[in-house]
Amino acid sequence: MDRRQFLASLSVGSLGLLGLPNAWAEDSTAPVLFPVPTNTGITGRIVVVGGGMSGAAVAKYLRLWGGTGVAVTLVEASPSYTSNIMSNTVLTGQRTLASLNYTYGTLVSHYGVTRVNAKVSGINRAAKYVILEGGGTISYDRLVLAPGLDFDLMPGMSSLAEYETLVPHAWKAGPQTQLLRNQLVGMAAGGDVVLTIPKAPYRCPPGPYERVCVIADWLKKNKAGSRIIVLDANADIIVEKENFSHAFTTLYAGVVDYRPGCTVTHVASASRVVTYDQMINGIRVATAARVQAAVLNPIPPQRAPKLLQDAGLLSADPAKPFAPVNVLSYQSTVDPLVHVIGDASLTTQPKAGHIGNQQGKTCADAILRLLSGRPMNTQVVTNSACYTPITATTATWLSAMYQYDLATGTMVILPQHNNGKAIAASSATSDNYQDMQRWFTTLMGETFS
Amino acid sequence: MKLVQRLSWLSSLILPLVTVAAQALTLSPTSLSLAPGAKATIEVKSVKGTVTLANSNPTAVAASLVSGKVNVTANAAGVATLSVTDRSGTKTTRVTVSAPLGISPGTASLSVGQSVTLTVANATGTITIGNSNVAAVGTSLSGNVITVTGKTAGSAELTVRDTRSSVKVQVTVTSSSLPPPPAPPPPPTSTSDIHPGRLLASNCFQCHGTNGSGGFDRIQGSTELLSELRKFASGEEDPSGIMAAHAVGYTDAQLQLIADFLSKQ
Repeated sequence: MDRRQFLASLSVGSLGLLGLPNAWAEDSTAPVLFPVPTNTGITGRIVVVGGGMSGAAVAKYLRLWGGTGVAVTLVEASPSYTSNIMSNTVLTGQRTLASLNYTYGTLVSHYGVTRVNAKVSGINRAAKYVILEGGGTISYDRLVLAPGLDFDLMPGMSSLAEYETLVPHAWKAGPQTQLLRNQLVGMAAGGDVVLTIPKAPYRCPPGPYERVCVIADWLKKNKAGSRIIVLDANADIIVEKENFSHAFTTLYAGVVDYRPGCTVTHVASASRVVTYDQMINGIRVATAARVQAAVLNPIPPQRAPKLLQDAGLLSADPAKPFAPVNVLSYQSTVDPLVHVIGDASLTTQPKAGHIGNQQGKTCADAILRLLSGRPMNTQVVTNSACYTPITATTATWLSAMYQYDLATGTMVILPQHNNGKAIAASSATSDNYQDMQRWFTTLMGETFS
Repeated sequence: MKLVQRLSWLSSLILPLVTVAAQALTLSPTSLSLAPGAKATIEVKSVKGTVTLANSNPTAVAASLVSGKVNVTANAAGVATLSVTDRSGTKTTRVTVSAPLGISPGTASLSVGQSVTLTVANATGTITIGNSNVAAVGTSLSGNVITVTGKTAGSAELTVRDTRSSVKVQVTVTSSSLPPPPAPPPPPTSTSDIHPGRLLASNCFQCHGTNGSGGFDRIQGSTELLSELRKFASGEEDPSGIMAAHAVGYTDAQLQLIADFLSKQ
């Protein structure tokens, strides 16, 4: 059955009669818990550092596919995970931050993952253990690093604390997301929001453009005369260009002021003044231009955390501050007993939660093969999919399928898939918006349950 | 005999140390392409002083240094750089391990006017097709999919080549319009107990739940999944939808593995 027909029949048949035409979208079936096998014969001690989308997935699948002989310890400093996906809808008041919270309870109680609530301060690769802040070590046979990202200071800033109190980046969902929401609500009508986008690669390629759209939609309804000025370090919109440029120039004409090719040279976080240079087609069109924000949301450049740098796992190229890996196994090219997955790894794939989950499964499968002397799997495919709200009721989606390419040792999109490029929804629709809710619920259930 | 063995062992030890040639260290060949399981030897010449060997990818290749050569065994797909260093410097040989060229299905039977598709796996470089009987069979290639069309009754041998090797496929064309033969069995499962479609199928779990158990349509245990996936991949069903965008990213052989894995959950 066509999925659209199936969903339509479901909504009319089961819940449409209740007068809640949209309620089903959130009402996804509860995740099914499959048992951890006892008879795989595979044994090993795996330490996973970081409990985000890829870290939770690798921990779950090491147990689900590896069985009870594989001891998995998940080390994460936060008591729970706050989803970055959907966090832009906290800015518009459509969701609460609490609704994006996921705990490690099922990973521990059902899958038998050992949880350590601590921050890792160092790695001793020679002796194969991680060092916990405040004392203590955990030994490993194989180490999986899924630590997410660190955020750079914007030029002119002197402390990361400025993000927490004055100019939230909110690119890791949490208190900064709430701060940005509060600043938007408190802003006088007519004030300008300024959002800056770093050069790619950064976490979630469509995310900044999505944020521009949902804030613009909210400004139209709540802050008459306000605009959102976008200073993009990239030469153009980097993904879903048709959908986003249509939104910027049609839906949000007069509200979104998109400026490509902007290099931010100074951020005054107290006065919220941004200084920037702008190049278009190699021609400098603005030098030391200044823009005054009522609310300033700088999305900073990002890099793999210092923990990985200290452990000598990062690329020597300062323009690529991430960890090079073999994408069949996510083994570091520096240390084959250390695997790096998710946003901190240096691959051709986007840095995003849906594909991070798949990297977790790919890494788990490879580790179990390595532990049991099985041949490596070369049929490795990872899929990236994300739904993106464009308004409070419509969304688009973007999909890319990556296959392992032997010649280059990288993940590539096959020519048969839109000539090697991602595929986007043809337009923003309310059906996509409903699908987005189900996608999110299912993805989070698959990752944390 | 014993003496000869001992002498040859001694010479192998001593010769590299006493060779004083004007040339620098050389490796031959400087690049190798191997199928998993294959063995090869790299000649090491004009060694000065102690020799060491470094292997950038032990997962892909096992390598050991013995007198005058490096013995190489291909383990798994990947690329390894073998670096041999002596006093004069370092020379490298790049070893590419890739699975052998494969065609699925390995034979085809069809009637006049009918078409079937064959999927080429693990090709390196350009794929070419030789056809022993162009009167009976027409062929066309798109990406890694060969479409074979029956023209007149007869048989043909197709030779599919890439830059490394070739595989032959027997094609039989019958004049009657009998129903097509049953679909070929899915590719054989690996000798290990891990289903070869498990990791591929896990790409479905983000939207369809673990093992396809929910979310959007439940696909766990489905027996109709392959035909559905092929309709999405060919654009026959909802070509602008997100499932078409996913299905088109796999090879047909991969879709078969995915469907087989999920049907058994």
